[in-house]
Amino acid sequence: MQNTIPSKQVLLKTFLTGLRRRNITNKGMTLLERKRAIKLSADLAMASVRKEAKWSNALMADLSRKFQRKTVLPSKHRHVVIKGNKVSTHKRGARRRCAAKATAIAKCIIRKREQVLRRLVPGGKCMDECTLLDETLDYLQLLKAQVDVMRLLVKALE
Amino acid sequence: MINLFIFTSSFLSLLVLISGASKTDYFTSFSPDLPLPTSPSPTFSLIRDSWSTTSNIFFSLFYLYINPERSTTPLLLSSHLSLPHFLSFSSHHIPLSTINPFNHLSSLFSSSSMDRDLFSHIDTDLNSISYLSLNYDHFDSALSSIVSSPSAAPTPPGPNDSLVLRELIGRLGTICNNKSASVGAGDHSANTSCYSTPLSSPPKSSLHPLPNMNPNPNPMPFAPDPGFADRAARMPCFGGGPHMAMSGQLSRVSSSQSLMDAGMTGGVQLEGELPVRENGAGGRGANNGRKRKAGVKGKGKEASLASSGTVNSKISEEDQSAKRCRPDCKAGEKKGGTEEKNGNCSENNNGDRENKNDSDSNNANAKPVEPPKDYIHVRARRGQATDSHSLAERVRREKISERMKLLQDLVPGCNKVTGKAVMLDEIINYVQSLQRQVEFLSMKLATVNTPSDVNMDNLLQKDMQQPLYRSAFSYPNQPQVAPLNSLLATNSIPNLGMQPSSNLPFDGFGNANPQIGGFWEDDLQSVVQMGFGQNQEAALSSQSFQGSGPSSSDMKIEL
Repeated sequence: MQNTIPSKQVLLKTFLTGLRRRNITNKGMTLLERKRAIKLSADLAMASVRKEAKWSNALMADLSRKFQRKTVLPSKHRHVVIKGNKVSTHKRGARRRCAAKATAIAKCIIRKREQVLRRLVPGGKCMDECTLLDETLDYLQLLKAQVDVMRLLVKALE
Repeated sequence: MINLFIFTSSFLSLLVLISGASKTDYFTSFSPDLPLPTSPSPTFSLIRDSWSTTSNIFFSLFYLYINPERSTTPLLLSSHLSLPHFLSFSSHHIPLSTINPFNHLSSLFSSSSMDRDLFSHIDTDLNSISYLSLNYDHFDSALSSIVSSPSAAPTPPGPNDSLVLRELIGRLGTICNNKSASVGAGDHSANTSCYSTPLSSPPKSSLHPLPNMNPNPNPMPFAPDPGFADRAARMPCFGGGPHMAMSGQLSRVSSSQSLMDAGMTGGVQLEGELPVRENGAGGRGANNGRKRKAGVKGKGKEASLASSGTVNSKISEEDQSAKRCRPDCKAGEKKGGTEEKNGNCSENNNGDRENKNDSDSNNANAKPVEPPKDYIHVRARRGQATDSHSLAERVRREKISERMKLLQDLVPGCNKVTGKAVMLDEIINYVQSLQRQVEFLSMKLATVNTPSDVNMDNLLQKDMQQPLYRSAFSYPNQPQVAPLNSLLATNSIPNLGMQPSSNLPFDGFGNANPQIGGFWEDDLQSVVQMGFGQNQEAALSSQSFQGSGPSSSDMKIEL
């Protein structure tokens, strides 16, 4: 289930290749555009390293769609997160009131959080619980690696 | 390797049979209680008998392999001894149901008119056996003792035959009985006088490693016989490592062995003995009976029929149950998804586990544990529901808990957290934080990348001589002018063809240009090495990054 952690060299290589291909050096690009391009290439690099994972395919499909539409990626996530938070706080209050229904409410909480996780992990909508956890594991690993690589770059370039 | 020897020995025996097919008068002379031949086709029965005896040899040798203890060697010897004689007898067309090689063996020992040629065959076969079982140092002594005993004995025929017969059978049964129990402790009383009667002076010294063979004038109780028979019959079902591989081969053996057992008279203690061999450990008969699809009633049937002597049905049931148990165990071993099933098959479990769960779970659990396997075999635990839905539910829950544990290791700060809800919360937080970090870092990279052509030539010159990042470190006062840009630009110069005209092409990253890779290798290596060396610094700095992330303000997750 847990594949080997991708070598950061590979990530970095693909990342930089993508960056170059996106022609970031072009002066005409605004900051946001550049940031978007960087993020896109970073995501693509991440997804390409783990091609057999479901989330990576979903991510690629997502990105290609978004690229064609030219929408901003992060805002979508923000909405979801806030929603999830609100629900969870509400449920916590309910749990304090009715201790007898603890298990039912706990299940509710778990279900809500699972939904949130589904929206977070790319392609999580179409997975059952087990695969969702698997994909989350994988995705987390690669996210960590990606963050490390980008931090490395930033540090090197400073 | 042992199989080869078995085959050779059986082949030798077959040759003996063919050569000795004409010697039918031996049989008629000293085994009056055996029924007359009734089968029409001599050759078919001959082949049948020879096959059964070869399989008998198979079984005995396998039994020896399985139970490498001293007490079993006489059994092996006796069974093998019986083979050539049995083969010679088989030409008399005895119905299979009443075949009793031990009868022949005892009659062989008891009769005085036995031809010495047969003994010579025995000797050759025994020598082959001794060659086979080199592990057993006592074997040769036992061999010699047994060989010497028949040859030295002009046995009294007639009235003593039946008694000697039973004694021999009983003795042989006890030999097997004592394989796990204290060797030689309990069955001195049960030892037959078979070996004592023909022998003027029993060779005690040679029989020392085989304590069961101490001469004892007491007659043989019948109790051990069925035990031995059962164990023999159940041998194919013997669970555990080396035996499972042989289980396929033993399918025939079990049938022949049960046929052999059928000829044994006396009480049958099937209930007690059967389950012992089924799963290879401990003796809980009734529980194992439940394990079979036939149920307990099959066992009862067997027990009732045994005493009456209608052997055929018993044999068939034994065969069926033995064979049923075997594929069950085999399937469990092969498919063996969960540990529970494997534990089931290899050891005998407490009797609360029921057979129904197996079939139900087989049908219900279609989720593959690994890609090549289709089913997960699960057993219901004690005190839990046994229907397929709850089993599947339990399997699912266990999977999820297992993954949660793995996630716990991955997500930092989750060691003390217990419970799915809190764990999920932590995971969500972590994923969100990582995604935010990626965004922030991409923004930072974008800001760092301020386009400037002024210092490009300078950087170019520096980069041509050394890797860029090393230069960045060696010159701490380097003007911070679009290092990313220049980094990219330097590579673009030697690789002019790499930059496509389209602005943001989306293409699969799988086909990265090898030229780029080759060019970047040194730089990347240096960067990565530096980066890995500074990981701790980066980790510390990341803490500050999180707080200063541009998008972090709108994310407030309660913990």
